[in-house]
Amino acid sequence: METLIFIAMNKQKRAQNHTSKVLDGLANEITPREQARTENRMLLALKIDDARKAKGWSKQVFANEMMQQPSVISKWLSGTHNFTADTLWDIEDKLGVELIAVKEREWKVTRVVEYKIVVQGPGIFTTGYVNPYTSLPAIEPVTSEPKPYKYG
Amino acid sequence: MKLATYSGSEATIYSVILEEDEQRQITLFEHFVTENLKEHHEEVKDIASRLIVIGTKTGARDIYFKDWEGKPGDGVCALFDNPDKHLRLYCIRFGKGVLIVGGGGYKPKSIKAFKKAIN
Repeated sequence: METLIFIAMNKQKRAQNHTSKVLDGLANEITPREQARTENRMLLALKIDDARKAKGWSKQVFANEMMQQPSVISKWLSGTHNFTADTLWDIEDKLGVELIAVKEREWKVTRVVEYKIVVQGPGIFTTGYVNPYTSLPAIEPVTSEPKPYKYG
Repeated sequence: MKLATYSGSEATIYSVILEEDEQRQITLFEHFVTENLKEHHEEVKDIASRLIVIGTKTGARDIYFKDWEGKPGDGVCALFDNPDKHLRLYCIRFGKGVLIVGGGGYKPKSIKAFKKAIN
């Protein structure tokens, strides 16, 4: 393999784009559903591995915590494993990461701020309402010249 | 050669063309696909699908590959086959962003790495 790479690098400085009917045909055979399933499995493995690293755990420590063999952990992280729900909940518990969302999220409005500001210039007038999620004022265009308003 | 169909924003996937295939412009990966498509159709599709995810979504993360698949120190790894399946694609990974795919084949689970025949 090293010889092949050496030859390739010496012959061309930049790799050419390569397409072929065989490879394109193969890619086209994969249905969106199949691709999504592969993607989900690989992203799930990545999420677990990122959570493991965030905890500062080696794969051995993670294996010990989960009471599994290191080879099982390798399979989990391979991106091909089909987890049971129970295993995912166990991993969630150990790593403190959400992998399965079954509970409805509770949305809380923390605060609503109303204010009025003076804006000089045509075409802009604030409604006095701040979106609590973006902290940006809602703005309505106006068709007439706004009247100046002094706050307080 | 850059495999444009499988490469993306997260990783670029290359394969190589041997000297004898230079005229026909057939890469090692194409040989792998052609040789195994009939007998292991779903597994070849699965590997292609994983390459697309690597190229476009995740990059060539180390967790997806099994190291020490070639000679010691050559850096060859195997794209993880499905635990239920036996097809392996041999690669060389350079970080998350570059992956060179070569050939591969069917390998029984009982063999850890392909052993060179002793002549």
